[in-house]
Amino acid sequence: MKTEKVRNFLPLAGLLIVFIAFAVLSGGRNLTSSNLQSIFNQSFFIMLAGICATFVYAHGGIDLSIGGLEGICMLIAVVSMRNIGFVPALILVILTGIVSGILIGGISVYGNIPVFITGLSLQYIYRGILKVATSKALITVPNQYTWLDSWGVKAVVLVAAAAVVGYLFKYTKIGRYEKAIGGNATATTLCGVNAKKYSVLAYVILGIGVGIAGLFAMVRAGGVNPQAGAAYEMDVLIAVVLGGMPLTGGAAARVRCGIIGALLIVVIENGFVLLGADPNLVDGIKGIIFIATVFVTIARRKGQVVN
Amino acid sequence: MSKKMKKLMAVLLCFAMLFSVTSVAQAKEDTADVKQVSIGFIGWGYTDTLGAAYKEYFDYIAEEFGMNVTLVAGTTQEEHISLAEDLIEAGVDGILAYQVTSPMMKLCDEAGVYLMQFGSPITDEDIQANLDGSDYWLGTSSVDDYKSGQNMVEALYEDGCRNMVVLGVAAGNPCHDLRWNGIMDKAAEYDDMTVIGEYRGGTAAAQEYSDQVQNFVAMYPEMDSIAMTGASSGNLDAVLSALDTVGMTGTVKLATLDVQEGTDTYLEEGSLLFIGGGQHPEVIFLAILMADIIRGSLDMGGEEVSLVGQFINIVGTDGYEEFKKYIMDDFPYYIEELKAVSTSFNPDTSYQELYDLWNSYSLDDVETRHAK
Repeated sequence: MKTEKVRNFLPLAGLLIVFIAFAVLSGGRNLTSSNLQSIFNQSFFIMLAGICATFVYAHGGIDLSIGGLEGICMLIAVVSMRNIGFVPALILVILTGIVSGILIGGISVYGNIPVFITGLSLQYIYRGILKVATSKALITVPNQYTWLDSWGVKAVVLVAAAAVVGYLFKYTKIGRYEKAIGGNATATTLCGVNAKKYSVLAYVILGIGVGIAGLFAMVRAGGVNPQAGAAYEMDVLIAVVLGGMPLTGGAAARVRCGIIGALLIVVIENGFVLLGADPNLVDGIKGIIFIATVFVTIARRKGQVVN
Repeated sequence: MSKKMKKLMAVLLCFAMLFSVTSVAQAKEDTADVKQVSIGFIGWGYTDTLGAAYKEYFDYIAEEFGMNVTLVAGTTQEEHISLAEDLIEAGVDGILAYQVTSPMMKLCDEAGVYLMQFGSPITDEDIQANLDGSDYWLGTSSVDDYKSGQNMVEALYEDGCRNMVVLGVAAGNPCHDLRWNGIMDKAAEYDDMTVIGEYRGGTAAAQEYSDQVQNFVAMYPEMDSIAMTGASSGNLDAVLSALDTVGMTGTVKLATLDVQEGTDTYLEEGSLLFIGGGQHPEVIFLAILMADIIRGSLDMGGEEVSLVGQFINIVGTDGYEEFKKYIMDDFPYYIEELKAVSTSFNPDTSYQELYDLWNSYSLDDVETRHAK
């Protein structure tokens, strides 16, 4: 029990150690209020998806389509905001996220297709649509929406998302069932839980989070081009793993994993730029820091079964 | 070794690496007798031919020109914004980026940091309108990517090629987009030339191009040429070895950009007909202008910087040896030549002189200046 508590604390400790290390190396440059705002602005998108991905990872799933989905939502957001305004754009990206969640969850769960295959396939479809739609030129967002790219607005969105997801995950049957499915799907089904329905629901929640993140990402980028959302799925995956999320699912899943992991990634990237590090060395060192962090923090249980 | 020791070793190793990176960064101390200027450079990477050439050139000039250049890399617009934020926090005075957007300009305005775009002119009217309203927008530099695309097709046509396949990275890269448009527009000018196939989905992964070439050969036996928007990152080798595999070396001619090691062999074999490159000094001229403006030694009088440079084209085996000698194995402009057009070091010079020096770039020009 005591070991478990220490292990839960390790990702946060890792984040603090890395942050303090860069503070020392950069002469405190990463501690300025403007830099802290930059770190928040940069990690917001990964944090939001990471929080909403808690249900998916809790049941042992994975969604590799979210990079393409974010790109599509950026496209829908920019076209909508240019023509019909912010509120319709927000509704449309949320609906797109829901439809995408139903697609990936439905196809993989009811079609009995491995979810990473479904995710990759949807990713290709989304990327194809994005390329066709943006092949001529960058589509830019009107200046009137730049107020959305403020850390204050994003903080409100993030706190609201964390509160809603945290409540659903901890105090409702949705969270309990997702963890139960991750622990043992067969046993959960035999207990009378509709595991398929709850698995699809997890992808829908993630889709909503990615849709909202896409709208904010588009405003931040100033528009959308064919590369929009590239590698987003890997950023989110790395973030939740660094934050201590077990990829096998189950009771150890926590909402905070996505937040801690996203901050860790961004603090490292931000720190290297502040230090003026050689860009050709940075990726390799980042990889070593990631693997060292996972090596120290990962939960190793004997006899784990990958769902 | 116990588990605790292993974990401790892992953490210590990471910190050792962090310190080593810092020491590399701190080694770039100012030795020039002008005010030190800190410039952030947002590129796409520094391992491909062009990116590596940028890095090498900056390493060559930075200290002499009193510049502290921080190179960072990203591929998406979202990454570019984050990198711009980080560079501003790192205390740069100006940023050179290859994809400037309105939010990036807004960030620079708020921080009082100057901004320029390299690689291509601004083509989006909305973005240009936002840049026009900024005190910190300085301008662009470009090499004529559109014209280089046209040059590729022209060379293939004059060699007798009539059935062409076009390969390119996915739309969204300003330079490659212009090259692609140049290729397509020039091909359309020739009534007896046909674009029989095109592939523009590429992530620029060499294997992807290799597969596509073999597919096109199988589908279109009449194919006699390929125009490819860039040869970097192994694409040149991939495409030509794919042609070799199907026995089409010398039968299908390739025209592309980005001269690199091994190009001479391909030119001699006849599989590579046309290749352009050597445009890397572009960013150096832009950085010099930015530093001059920041130091206050150059006043543009409200005019935007708009540098236009050239590719150096090699057709057949002519000129490759000279290109390698003067452009690849040496720097096309030496420190003293560059200082002569920098107002920080030569108060008598002007923007026009720098513009002319870069605008007259050619293999003959470099040979004349650096005759060996």
